[in-house]
Amino acid sequence: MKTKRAVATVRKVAAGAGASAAAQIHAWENDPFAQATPTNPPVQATPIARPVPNLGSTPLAIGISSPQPPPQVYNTGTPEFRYWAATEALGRGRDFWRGILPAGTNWYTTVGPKLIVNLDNGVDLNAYYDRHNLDFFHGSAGGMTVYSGESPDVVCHELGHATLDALKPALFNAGFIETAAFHESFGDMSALLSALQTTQMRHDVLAETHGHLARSSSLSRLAEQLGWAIRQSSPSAVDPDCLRNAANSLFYRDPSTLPPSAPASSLSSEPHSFSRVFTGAFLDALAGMLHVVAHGRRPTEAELHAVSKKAADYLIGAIENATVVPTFYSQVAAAMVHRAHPADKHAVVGGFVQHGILSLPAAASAIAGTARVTAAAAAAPVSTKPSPDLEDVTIDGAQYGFGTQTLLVHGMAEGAGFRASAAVLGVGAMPQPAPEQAAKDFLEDLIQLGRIELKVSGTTAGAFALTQPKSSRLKTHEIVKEGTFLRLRRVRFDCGFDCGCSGH
Amino acid sequence: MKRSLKTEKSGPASSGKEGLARKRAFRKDRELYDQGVVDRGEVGKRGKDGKLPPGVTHEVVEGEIVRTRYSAV
Repeated sequence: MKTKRAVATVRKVAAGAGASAAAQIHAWENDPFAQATPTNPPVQATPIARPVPNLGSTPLAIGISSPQPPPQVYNTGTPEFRYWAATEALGRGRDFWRGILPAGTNWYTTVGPKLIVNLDNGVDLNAYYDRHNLDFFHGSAGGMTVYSGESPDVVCHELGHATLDALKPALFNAGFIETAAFHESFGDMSALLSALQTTQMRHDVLAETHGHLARSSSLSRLAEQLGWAIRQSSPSAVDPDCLRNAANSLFYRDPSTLPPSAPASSLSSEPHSFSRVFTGAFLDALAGMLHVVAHGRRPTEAELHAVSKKAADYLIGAIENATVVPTFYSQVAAAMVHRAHPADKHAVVGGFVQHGILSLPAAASAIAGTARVTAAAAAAPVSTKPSPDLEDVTIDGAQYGFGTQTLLVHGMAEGAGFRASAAVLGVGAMPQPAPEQAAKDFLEDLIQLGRIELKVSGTTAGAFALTQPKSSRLKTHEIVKEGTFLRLRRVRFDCGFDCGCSGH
Repeated sequence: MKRSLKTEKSGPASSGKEGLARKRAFRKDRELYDQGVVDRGEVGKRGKDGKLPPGVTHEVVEGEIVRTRYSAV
């Protein structure tokens, strides 16, 4: 069994004022691998210098079960390097969440005052939180040994389980598909947010994405090395570039209509698979908030730092207030919108709307604070069967964030067919929607896909989509003023290949 | 195998038709959840060393499927 060893150039990273070289260790930024497209063999990331963490401080103390090597710089591939890489990730994640969680939050009772971490508990390409310990493992793949505890993404994912259990223990064994999936999503959100707590990572991801955080990047690609190891024996079990990529366009489906398992390219009700919907929405919300704060220019790392803390605060506050029900996703989403600062509300809701976790009427209610949101329930577009021309259909604009104005949707033949005969997995066909419902469904699709350009001033109409980076997508429709009404009209067809063809 | 309907503090108590509908929804989701856990082979027993096999996250305790740990994969 060969263990990959490398003596890499260490990136100089600010370790905090007054930190001396002797008080530093080397660790990974967020994963031992960082390639967008893994080579064979993959190239290791470059270690970063970090201050020595203090895991024993309270509350939420952490202990490592294996002996501590002296805190100093070690070569990658050594047990000593892995010890400090895991410790640094644990300290970074714990310190971040400790600053966000309500005062007095402690580990779940069976954990005790100190969460014990086993860095190598045997052979498995996995890691676990069991209400007592965090357990990490090792496994052989592609001629090398991979240690799950070496990846900050994996470590902060498991730490996320323990953190969420400390905050909301009712979720642990709630026994609903969405609560289990949310636990997994929280783990991945914990990895994302913890990664953003180093200055260098913030600089790197802003440069890599040109300030568009929702793009696939070394931040959004979670656990590249573990994903690579699993891919060696199960190519379809994980995303092609990592374990799970938070930059995704997965759209909410009622999980009871999904298969219990599926390749990573499809959505299933398996918690890790279904978790990607919420994580994708959260990354989009984070990106939207950053977009708002930057006012159209490239955001700074300080702004990204502040936004990461705000998003985490909204998330934690929402979890505290969300009811544990089968539709937990929409509960948390609506509660996040409720908690968000007015300047952030549209950005937050935009992420959840674009992933279907909040329907547009639910989103409008959440923003207005007028109604309790109980269901997500946006169904996927299905049929492209054309439908006959229809008369104007009037839609109450208030349901979609258009205030008191009425929206006219004309000539539904161009798009109403999207909903003409929706198939539902395992049940059959959805009932044929009435024209008004079809028009609403079509409008929702366009807003969720960021396809509408708003040409009306003095209204918040469509703001859900407009605050999102995806709103830069090719617009196929526009909303214009027509008398006392608003009119939705098509301006072009999109062939889907960005060739610029137009329907004019 | 007995299906568990046990949840910890699963939402506010309600009565009447709404309460019945809520209970039905909870039961349906819990049954689907348990079925998925079984279908994916996530229910197992501890070995002589007290450890759960790789990938196992649930155990049967007093006839009920109970989650005992969360995993990364």
